Amino acid sequence: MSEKQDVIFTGTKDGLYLVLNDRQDLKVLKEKIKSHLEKSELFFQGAQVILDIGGMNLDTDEILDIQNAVFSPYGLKIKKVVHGDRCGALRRKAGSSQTPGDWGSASQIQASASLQARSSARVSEGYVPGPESDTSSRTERLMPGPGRFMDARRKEALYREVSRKLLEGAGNQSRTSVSAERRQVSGSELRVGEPRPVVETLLYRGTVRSGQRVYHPGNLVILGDVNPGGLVQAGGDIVVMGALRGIAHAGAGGDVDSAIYALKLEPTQIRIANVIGRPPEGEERGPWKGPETARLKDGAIIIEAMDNTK
Amino acid sequence: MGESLVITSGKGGVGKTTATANIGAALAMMNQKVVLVDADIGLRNLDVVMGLENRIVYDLVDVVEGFCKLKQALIKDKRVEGLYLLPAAQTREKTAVTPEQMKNLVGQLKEEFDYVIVDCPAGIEQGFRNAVAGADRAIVITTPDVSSVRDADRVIGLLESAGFEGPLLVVNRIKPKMVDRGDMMDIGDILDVLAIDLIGVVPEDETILVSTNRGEPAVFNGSSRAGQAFRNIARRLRGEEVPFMNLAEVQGLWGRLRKFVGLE
Ligand SMILES: Nc1ncnc2c1ncn2[C@@H]1O[C@H](COP(=O)(O)OP(=O)(O)OP(=O)(O)O)[C@@H](O)[C@H]1O
Ligand SMILES: [Mg+2]
Repeated sequence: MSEKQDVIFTGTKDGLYLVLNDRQDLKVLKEKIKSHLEKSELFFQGAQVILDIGGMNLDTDEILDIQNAVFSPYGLKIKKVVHGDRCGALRRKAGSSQTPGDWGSASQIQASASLQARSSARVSEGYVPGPESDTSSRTERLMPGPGRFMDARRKEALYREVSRKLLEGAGNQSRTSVSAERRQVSGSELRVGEPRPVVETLLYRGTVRSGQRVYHPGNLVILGDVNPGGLVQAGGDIVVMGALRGIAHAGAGGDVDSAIYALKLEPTQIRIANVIGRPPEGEERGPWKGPETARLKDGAIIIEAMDNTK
Repeated sequence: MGESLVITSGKGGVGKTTATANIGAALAMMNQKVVLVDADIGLRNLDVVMGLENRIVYDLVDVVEGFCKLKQALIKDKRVEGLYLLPAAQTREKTAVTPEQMKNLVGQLKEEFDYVIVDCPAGIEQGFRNAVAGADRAIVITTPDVSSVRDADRVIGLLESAGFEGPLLVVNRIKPKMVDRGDMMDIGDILDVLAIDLIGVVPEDETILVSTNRGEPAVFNGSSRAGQAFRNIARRLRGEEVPFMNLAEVQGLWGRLRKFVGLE
């Protein structure tokens, strides 16, 4: 799990998020993508691709070449190219503090994190690092875009500029819409045992169906159901405004104070920090008991009715 | 300009081909011009279910590769006016066709036909992508068991990310007695998870087996209950309001249907 995969596909509602190993040769990468496309289940005719090239420097011609030689034959289109830091902190963390579970490699998580960040770009026209974000700088541009990618210093300058604008803009909006729109965009590290970082909340509208995964480094609210086979993960708390029937993982960075709330709590599995729990076997579901919450108490996951938690 | 529908499921053997043949034939019986497209390249059997196997000369791959004209590959059904089949190639693989080619093909067919109905292979790989490529709407088939519903959910997710709006659900092989005993998921449970509109409930029915073996879609058989269910689906596709049959038999269905489908 600690080995770096060359290409990672994440299917999402908005299309395909594809992370490339920036230390691998471009030719090799192209071949790998092709063979993935050949057998992958995660893509479609006409699907849009968000290409995460990490620290690689690719010019327009190279990207157009990837589009023409690799994606076009399968009817895929590159929607945008982003620089994520897939080998970032979460990945290392996963190696050390996570239960060696089956919830996917950290780079996949990182990929989804970047995607969530991407959706914020609709509002902010670019990535804005969170207040305490470290080196996890990202940039993105639309495809096809202008020549070379920016160098790090120009990136920095742009970030600062955009964050400033965003904060200014935020001042004119109501509190709720700010948090809903600004979303969490930094991939900053969540450390075990440290006080909970200031995190923002992602609002995800829609049902998370089998095979789908939603990840957010902050808190995560799902306005819909999480079906069996679906996975929601958050660095902080998770709220499901519907039925949680799949897997929810709160405190994915190790925060043991995270909790999961659901109007209907019928999960396949619950994970909080590095503790995994599942409902007792052979127990009838019974009638709906109202909203419930799952949290850690003395290292074990306990389920309580929502009104007892106040 | 007609409409294209893909009939899909994720899990194999739940009744996609049966549904394609029957819904298609039922629509043709309603004076619609219908073409059934078998996208299950390498494992075709829509032709067998339709009883048209021995009339195949050219197939879908021949058309795509330019060996014949589209018209030459279409087989006219002998029993009902306006029903045609475009068979799949049996000796090729799913990769013989690209989604782009399927899209063009279905687009061409839509100019000639009121309904283009594509029978999707099982799975979510290339064959699935081909089958959904040119479709305007999707019908998802499930049987009342947990694994089939799970696969349907997966497929609905994939359809949604491919931009399909409001896939429609058919629950096939319902055995009302088993539902009553609680041995089978009931329709309400299924709709609870899948949360898409229900367009039909087809009972488990021996006449389906007989009709499959004879190559006679059950909708031609006036006394087949499954045939009746498929005729109802065709009418609902045409925009008619048709009450769901078997309601009394399927436990708890009525109230939940009202809730989910908004029947009045
Ligand atoms: N309502 C029904 N009652 C009884 N038998 C049925 C019913 N629907 C389908 N069957 C039977 O189930 C079997 C599988 O049906 P069918 O070939 O239509 O499934 P499919 O989804 O197309 O399969 P595949 O995934 O292999 O293409 C057939 O033998 C068919 O006769
Ligand atoms: Mg079939």
